[in-house]
Amino acid sequence: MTSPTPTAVVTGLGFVTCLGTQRQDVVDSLRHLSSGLAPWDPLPGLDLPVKIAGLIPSFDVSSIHPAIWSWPNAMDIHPAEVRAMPPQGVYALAALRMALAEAGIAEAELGTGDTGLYCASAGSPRMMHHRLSLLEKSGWTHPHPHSVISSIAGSLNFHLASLLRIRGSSCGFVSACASGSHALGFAVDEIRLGRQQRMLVVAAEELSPETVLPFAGMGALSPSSDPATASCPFDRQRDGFVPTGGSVALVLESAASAQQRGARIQAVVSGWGQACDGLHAASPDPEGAGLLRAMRLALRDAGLTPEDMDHVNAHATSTPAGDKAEARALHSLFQGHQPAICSTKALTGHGLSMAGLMEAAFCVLSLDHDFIPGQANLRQPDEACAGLFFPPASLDQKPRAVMNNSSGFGGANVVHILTHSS
Amino acid sequence: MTTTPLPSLAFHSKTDTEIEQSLLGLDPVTIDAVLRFRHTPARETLRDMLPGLVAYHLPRGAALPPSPLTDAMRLAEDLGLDSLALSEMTFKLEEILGFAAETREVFEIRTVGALIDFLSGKLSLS
Repeated sequence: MTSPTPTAVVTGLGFVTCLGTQRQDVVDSLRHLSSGLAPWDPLPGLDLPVKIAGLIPSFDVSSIHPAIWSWPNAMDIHPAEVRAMPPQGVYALAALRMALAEAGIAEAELGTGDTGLYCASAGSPRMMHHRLSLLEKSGWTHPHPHSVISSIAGSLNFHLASLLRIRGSSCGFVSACASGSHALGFAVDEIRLGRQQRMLVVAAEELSPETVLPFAGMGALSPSSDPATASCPFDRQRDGFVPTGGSVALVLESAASAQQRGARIQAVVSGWGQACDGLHAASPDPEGAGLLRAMRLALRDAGLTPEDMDHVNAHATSTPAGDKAEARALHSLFQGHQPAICSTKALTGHGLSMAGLMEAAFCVLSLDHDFIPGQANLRQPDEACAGLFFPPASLDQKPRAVMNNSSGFGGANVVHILTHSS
Repeated sequence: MTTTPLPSLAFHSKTDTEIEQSLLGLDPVTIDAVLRFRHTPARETLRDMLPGLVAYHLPRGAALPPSPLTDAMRLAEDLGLDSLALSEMTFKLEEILGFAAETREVFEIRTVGALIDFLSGKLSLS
């Protein structure tokens, strides 16, 4: 006789995002469709191909000198903890400590082997650029001791796992804009397989010229200088994405563990699925075929149907090709019942590796606070959106089940299904 | 004592601004010692700057090093510097004092006295 499969539930969230660094601020921004985008000029005097971004004014990790990074006094962060981290490590540590506090878990409880850590981050191209420039200047003889651990893609999990004394699973996920969603999906599997009682899932991005500007080379960035309209997913005027940085952390645990601790369950991750386009390194399948398969696999995993979905947090980044492909995939899946669809990237911009986890956390907020975000900045929907339902304002409605879509380079598509704990 | 002349790499031609950036995060006592050393290099001034440099490179919550540091104190066992922290501290010393060290040389340093001897040799101090 086999034991029943554990259920993966969410008991804590932490946000360091352009919509706020407090949960209620994020809820309010999503409910009232308040944008977190603002003018961004990281290299004054140059005419950069990007003018605006999702910023976090209360933090400053823009310097290549960690000694002058700053964060709000209320954040329990010591300079020695972040000195060797990539810049987004500061965001990540702050978000993770917020999530742990919300879940009611002390850091001293994490080192027992039944807690794992999965992270998503592209590393820090900024620190790598700086360190390699100095190395070249030294005649390639003097690498800084932190050259590797402050910059490469796994740097987030290196530091967080050691700082928090994680002795369970630890891994970093790198699938571009699907990374955060992969981290959450595989964390769900760790719980379901009984390998871990708790999984900490963290995604972060630094937002720097080095991270963002290369996207201009493929025409993926919006050149707009109007924060109010630049990020307009599914709109005919969309012309590229607006970047953002920050971090989101999520505490996932088995329902049994949460119940035993008396922790409040905010949502259940009922299923997930992934499927690759197998077509192109950077462009999506024009029909969204891979995303459609991922959505169907996620629904099957959750034991639900398209008719059970009341809300979809779409991946749509405000790029011409990606949004159209997703709209077509959504059309194929939702033939009759139409859930309320929105891409919250209209408010946040695109968080790259962080996006999928940030939006999964938004789905948790939607389930936990009984609302569905509306679609901001949608004035003239793309023709591919005909028949889909994009509420122009947020709905005061308790969704039964929510779908979270993510897609990344290489045609990676990941979908989560989240439901109420009841 | 004879020493090898410093190679004329741009790395060793730090501007004042670059030096100031390397001092970011250090306490005033340590910065004062560094500036005194740059004005009048002396072996004992190296000892003055070490407690602050060691403290800067320790993890959160670690016991602060005693001041002054004695030659017999072991960098790892007594002061809590692991090999990465020692490498980082030496790198910072290279930046602010202007010398070049091989990583393998650094890993052979075990005590405060050995570190001061090492630095004195690199900087041609008597």
